[in-house]
Amino acid sequence: MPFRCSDVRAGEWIDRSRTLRFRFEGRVYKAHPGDTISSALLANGVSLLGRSFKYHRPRGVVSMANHDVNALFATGTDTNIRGDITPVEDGMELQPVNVRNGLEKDRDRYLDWFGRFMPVGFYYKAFHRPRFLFPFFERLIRQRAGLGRVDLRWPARRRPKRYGHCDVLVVGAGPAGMTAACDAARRGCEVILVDENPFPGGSLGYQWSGNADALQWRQRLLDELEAHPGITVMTSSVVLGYYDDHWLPVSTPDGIVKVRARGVVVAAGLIEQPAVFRNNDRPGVMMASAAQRLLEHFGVLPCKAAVVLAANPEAYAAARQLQASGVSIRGIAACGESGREGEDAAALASGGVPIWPATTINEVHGTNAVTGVSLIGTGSEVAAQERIDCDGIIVSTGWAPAAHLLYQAGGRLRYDDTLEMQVPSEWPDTVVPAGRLNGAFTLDQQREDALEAVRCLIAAMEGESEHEARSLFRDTVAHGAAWPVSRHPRGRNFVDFDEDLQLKDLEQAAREGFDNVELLKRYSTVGMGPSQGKHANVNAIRILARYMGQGMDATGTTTARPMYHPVRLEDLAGRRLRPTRLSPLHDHHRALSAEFMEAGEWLRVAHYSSQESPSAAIADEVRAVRRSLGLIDVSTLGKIEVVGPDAARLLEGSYTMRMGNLKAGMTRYGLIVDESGVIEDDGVVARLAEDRFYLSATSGHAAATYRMLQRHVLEWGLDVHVINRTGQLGAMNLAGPESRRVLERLVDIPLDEDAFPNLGARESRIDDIPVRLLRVGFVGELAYEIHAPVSAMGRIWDALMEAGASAGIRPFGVEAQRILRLEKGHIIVGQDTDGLTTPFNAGMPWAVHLKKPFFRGRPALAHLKGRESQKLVAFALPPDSPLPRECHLIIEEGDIAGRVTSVANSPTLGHPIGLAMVESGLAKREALLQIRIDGGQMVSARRMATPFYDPEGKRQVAGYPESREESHQ
Amino acid sequence: MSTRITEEHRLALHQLVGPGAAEALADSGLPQPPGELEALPHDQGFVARTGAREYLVAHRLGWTPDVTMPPWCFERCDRLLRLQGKTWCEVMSELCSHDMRRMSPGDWFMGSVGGVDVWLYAMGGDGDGGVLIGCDPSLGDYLRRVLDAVIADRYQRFN
Repeated sequence: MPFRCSDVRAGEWIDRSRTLRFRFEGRVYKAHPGDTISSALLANGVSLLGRSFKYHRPRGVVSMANHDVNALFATGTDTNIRGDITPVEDGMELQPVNVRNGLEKDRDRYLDWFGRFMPVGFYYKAFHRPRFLFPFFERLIRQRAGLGRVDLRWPARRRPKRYGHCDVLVVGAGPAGMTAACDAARRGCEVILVDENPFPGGSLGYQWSGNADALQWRQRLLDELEAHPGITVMTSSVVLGYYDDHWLPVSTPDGIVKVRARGVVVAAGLIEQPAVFRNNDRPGVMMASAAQRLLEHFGVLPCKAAVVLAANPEAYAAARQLQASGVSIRGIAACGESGREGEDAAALASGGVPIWPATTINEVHGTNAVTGVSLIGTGSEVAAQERIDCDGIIVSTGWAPAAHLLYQAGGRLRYDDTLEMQVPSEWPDTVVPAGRLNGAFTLDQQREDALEAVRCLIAAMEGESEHEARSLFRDTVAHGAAWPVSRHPRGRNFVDFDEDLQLKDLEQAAREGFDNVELLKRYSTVGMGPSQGKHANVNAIRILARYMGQGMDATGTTTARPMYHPVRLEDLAGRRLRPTRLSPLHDHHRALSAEFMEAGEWLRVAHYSSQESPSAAIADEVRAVRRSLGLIDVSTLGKIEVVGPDAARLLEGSYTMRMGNLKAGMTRYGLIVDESGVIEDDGVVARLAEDRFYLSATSGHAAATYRMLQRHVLEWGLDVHVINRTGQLGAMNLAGPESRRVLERLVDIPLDEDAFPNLGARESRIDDIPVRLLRVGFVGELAYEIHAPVSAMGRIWDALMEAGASAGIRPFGVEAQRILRLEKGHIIVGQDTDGLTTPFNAGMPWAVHLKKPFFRGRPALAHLKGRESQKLVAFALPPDSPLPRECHLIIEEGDIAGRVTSVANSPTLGHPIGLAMVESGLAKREALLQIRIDGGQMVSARRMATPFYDPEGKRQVAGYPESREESHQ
Repeated sequence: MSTRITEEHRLALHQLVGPGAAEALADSGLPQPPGELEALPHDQGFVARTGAREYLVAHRLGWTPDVTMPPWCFERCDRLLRLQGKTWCEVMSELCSHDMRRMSPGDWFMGSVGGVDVWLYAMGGDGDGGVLIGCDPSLGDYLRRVLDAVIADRYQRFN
């Protein structure tokens, strides 16, 4: 490993005692545990790590801080792995992404030669003519676009999320973050400290490694972090965003933790910003902080001979640090004044390192790596200097705060002309900045700023406001250049490495009228790559500001949205939590080989299996109900008790029909509409006593109906209790001409027509089990709904099946029930209705009692009556007609005139029947309905009246002459 | 003790609703929690106050008030699961946003676990008494399956 330092660094992350091997593009390299992919490759002298997105230019390390989006790798099971932060593993087989035929000889590298034909926004302008060629270009661009390739054979993975709680969440375990965490914990707070790096320490670990005081302080803080029981440290973890009420998802190596904190200290530090000059993207050009991280964390020399571009004290400190480690510093181009008079600059100068004032980089030389650099004066009148040979360019010309969380919490930033960087200007009381991102650069400033942040935060958490006490410890010298941009007639001076955007691209976009920062972003895509503008946005704003002749603050900034770094889909997916509700009779159904279907959260029986096809089995179930006896589990129905003196008033106001005059022991169909008159739900209302009602609701809407009733109780100030018993009670429907004969053998009350008339409700017992019986006929036969506690449902089912065996009882499922109700012309809310259907549209004016002085939706219905634009109509098809599907369109004179809402082959009638919602004009004309079915074929349906079956409703009356019951008597 | 989930079959549940509910509890010698969403233990179970005039009575011997309506009394068939063991809080942290570490024995909580509405009653014991979880019986199998999966996953990850 030729670039590995021989001397061990104080805070190294690698274990030099062990060596591991990995392959990159087929070649074997050595590394140490703790190395990242990038550090390991650089240690082996490999600096070409990837190709850029658009021009396929050679790229290498830039930040070593999780922003190196041009150094992405793929393994056999993963892709787009970030080399700067991903640990290398023994036996790893790595390939670069976005290349063909290897990195060196990437077949797409020629795209760089044609860059002039791909200016900003070219894809908005090109390839549209001739039109017939657009699909060709689209296919070509799609093939070339993107970075890593996903192998669809990779297995889907999920990693569970979990919740975490603390008093104070500290983001960033640098000097300020560690100080804040320790101080908050000392004050009795439970603290979670989160840092992206595998070890806490932040800039203390690489920027201050030569400072003994700093190292001592770091050790004290690390000891306290480890010893304090109130501090939890999460390393290799990223706070992805800030959400309301202090929810902050943290991406950890074990998945996402959703942390709820009472207060947040944002000490996430700074992101070093690149300078813009020709070929500033060559492998070997990197930030000073990247070089320091390589050196101090991994013991890797970034290069052997470097030229430094400096605009702040940190640049000189880094140059001195590298020089002390054996890097030859060929000179320092000072494009800013700050730091030039400092101790580090003086030491370098006295050691013979040339420092060129008012100088910047004109051009970097080299094809796949840096081989030299030409400098130029920052004033345009100064001519370019001769080439200086070197293999590395170290840049430190400015910083941007990692203040995304502050921004998302409602904070604001402003540009500080002294520091030459953005700083927080306002923030919420309980989300406070600290440390370098708040402009505190020296260690003393960072320490004091962190202590002040905690003091203010805890005061705010205790209800006091200390707004004015913040930002007392900002530095007073510049830490960046005001204009770190160097023009070059041949361009290739990149602003955004993700999207290959150059200075000329942004200026061109502004010239074309995209002169607002948000428009510029969307047109040019600056900041829209994988690093989300962390290295591009500040310079882009600078360029736009200069073009517009205005300040940075006037130019504005773009929105920093979560997630801060890309998150693995398996982490976002989390554990699969999909509640499924089972009927209390689920095991009984399974024993009967039922086929299940999802109905909202519920798993319901579609039909029971037989030797026949499903459609034949369903038809048999329908025939069993019509001819003798069927039993269906309707436990999924909503079941709501309404008790109290105002129970009748509540229901009178909640349903469209009269409920106050319902007699005890009787039921009535109930329809619920919303304030705009649209049908929401329907069911049966049973009055059990003067002050007690029992309601059923549709399976999918029970919870919403319960909430609506609860809301009415509060809004109308009623003395009534509403109890949702949907899951507590089961229900089944015994339907068919034999139902009374079978049931009366099991219950302790008479079932004759006088004692228990149609639409009656009674309390009874089956085998000593208390049951509630409702005589309702959704399926159009004599039928009894039996409601009982879920614990007793199995026994009741068994008793009925046994008692009905001689009558040929057959359990039936939802599919048969849907046909049975369709034969009766009954609607299903949500299937035959939609978000615009009123009772008048559904042909149910009889269900609306506008004479009532008030009910929910009454004003709307009073207005809408007679103005309906659509109506539900019934139709029938010949027996041999192809069967339309629900949602097929009704066509009239070439235009859409409606849609099929329900359709089925009727086993009873022997031909298809259905319902359709059609335009009122068509509904009135009684004309044939033209239905366009699959494949565009048209079928003609004749209009029918409903019910299709038993229009007089005689079969719901016990003792109807045609029923088998009569013949038995 | 390793974390485990068991079914609780011994407790019969009733929901008591309406005026006179507190008096009915007192007449039966049962405690009346003073605040809403609070619970108090008794010899055979506990009583939780779930609303202004709503109580949930858990009783090992079964119980119904000896009164005429109101108050109204409804039998409850909630699925009861008991989560026990030293890491029960960690298990719940994968399914519930509430900070379970703050629950002391006897505390009552109504919230969402794994996307399902539940009530929780923190059990006694020396720190690992765990929690009694009650949910709608139709969702009981789902909740049991999810809790089992979390416990199994954690066992795999940490053993």
